[in-house]
Amino acid sequence: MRAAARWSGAGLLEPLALVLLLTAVVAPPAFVLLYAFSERWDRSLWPEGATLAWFAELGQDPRVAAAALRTAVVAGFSATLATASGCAATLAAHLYAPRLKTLLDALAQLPYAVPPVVVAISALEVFVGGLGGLIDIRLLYVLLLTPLLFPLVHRTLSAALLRMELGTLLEAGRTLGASDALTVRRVVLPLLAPAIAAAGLLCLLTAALEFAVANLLLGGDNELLQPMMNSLRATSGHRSAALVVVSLVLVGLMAAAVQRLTEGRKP
Amino acid sequence: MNPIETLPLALDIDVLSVALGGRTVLHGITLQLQRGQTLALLGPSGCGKTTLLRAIAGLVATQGGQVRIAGREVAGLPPQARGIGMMFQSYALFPNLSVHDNIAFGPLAQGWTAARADARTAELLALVELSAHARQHPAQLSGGQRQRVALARALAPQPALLLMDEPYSAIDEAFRVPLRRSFRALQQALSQSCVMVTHDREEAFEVADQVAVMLDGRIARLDTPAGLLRDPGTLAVAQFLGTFNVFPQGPAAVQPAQTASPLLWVAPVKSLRLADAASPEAWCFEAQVVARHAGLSSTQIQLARDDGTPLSLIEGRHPLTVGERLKLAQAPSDLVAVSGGPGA
Repeated sequence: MRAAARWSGAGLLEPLALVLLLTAVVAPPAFVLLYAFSERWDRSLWPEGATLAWFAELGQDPRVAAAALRTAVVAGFSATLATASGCAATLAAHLYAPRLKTLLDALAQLPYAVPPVVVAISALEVFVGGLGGLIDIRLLYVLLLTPLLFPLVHRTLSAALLRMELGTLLEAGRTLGASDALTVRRVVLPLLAPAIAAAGLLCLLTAALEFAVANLLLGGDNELLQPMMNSLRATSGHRSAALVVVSLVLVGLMAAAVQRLTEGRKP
Repeated sequence: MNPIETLPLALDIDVLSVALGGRTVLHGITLQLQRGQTLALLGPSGCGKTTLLRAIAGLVATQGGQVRIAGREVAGLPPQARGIGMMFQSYALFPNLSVHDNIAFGPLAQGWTAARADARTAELLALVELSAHARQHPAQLSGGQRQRVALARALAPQPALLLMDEPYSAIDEAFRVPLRRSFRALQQALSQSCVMVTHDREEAFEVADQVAVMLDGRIARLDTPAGLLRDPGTLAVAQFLGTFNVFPQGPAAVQPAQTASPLLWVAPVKSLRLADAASPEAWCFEAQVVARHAGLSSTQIQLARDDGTPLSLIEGRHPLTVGERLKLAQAPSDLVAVSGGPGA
């Protein structure tokens, strides 16, 4: 029976699916990596000559440096705003208002229900078309990004709060004569610190990688890295690939930091 | 007059009711606890004992009745103002704080100076023999050590009443007994008034001065351990305690004077003996061995009378065998009449 199953189509399906999945996931970044480190890849099936020239050019390009700085500032603002407001709302909901928690759970689904393109076009229509000049476009981008980042903060913090048995800790504080504010300050927030840091990093990562809204809303003097990667392809695919590789390394480092902050840690 | 009798009661609860989710879970609870004594709230799961403890602590709202702690009405006060200390079933130690800081948390929260809080913490650390672990965090301690930290933390602000919710349930059996005995010695040395929730009958009877058996949200019986073992009051309490034989009808010649119209009779299992030549015939009856249940300290014999009534007997020095027919003797002085219902 086992031998029959081994030679049947069902036995082959699993490794085949795995290979296809790995190919689909790994192949594109692998090709981009090769492209970034090769002198040219347009005359045969294989890349030609190894070089770091594209990375060196990136380092000397003031447009890249400006876009990177703008991205860091905008992503930093968005992540800070999303983390601060998300932490306050989630903590308040868990502490005092189960109904608010239900509402926040629902709100955390909303960004997935409304595509970012719809958000960007609506914002363009209202703030740039109808109420043009009323609000700085970069601030508008930050304000649009913040609710899109909220689910990351809410989900990360809710999981941490559930693990730490918040209610029991607060009750312990009360029976010891402490106000809830004191217990939150001395116990809950220090325990939540890794989760808050992880949520902040996730927000920063997501904001820095955001493309759809940035591409539609910010251009010219306000260009961010993600849209720039796309536009660089028109002039030099190798430089664009080098920028993608740098981004991937940064993303990998930040993802590792998030993992380190959250794995196996009971807050 | 004993000077302690002139002080207000450690706890005085009068017709307390609690409803959770629209359902009444505590019905007219009335009990009193003298200062320096330990009261065990004993009952099966879901009987309301933890809810009662939380109501005393102010962690659940009450629907009616009065709660006085050390003579002070606390029914409308938040937990912070009740003068209690509480040990939670999970200990609820603050994992980010050291043992020292966990214990000092309460005194500091109540406005003690740092020096006074430190002195009190050092005193308690010595008392629970954890001075060497003061800088460690709860995750670095064993279960028994965590339990002692929780006890020290609850005692730190010098509460008028210590509340303990199943304090030994998370500890292995081997460590539970010495821990509860050391707690009892400490509690008596400090004259600390204490209410302890437990479902462990051994624990309740060993640690407490008073035992309140709770069934279905009511105090079914409140007495000293010795009093409870002598007279459970109701059939439900006798069955919960599991240390009584039930006699639907007392032996014809056995009619204790104090019972006017008993519904049922019960007697402690340990009072049932094998009949011997000295046993009066009127005390005797026969039963058959149905099963033997060997335990660590004794073997309990399950018996059945001819009418099917089940009985238990503590096996003596001579081993009994299943199927064996025995002549037993039940002294009438150990029989008490009980009513049939839990609340009766």
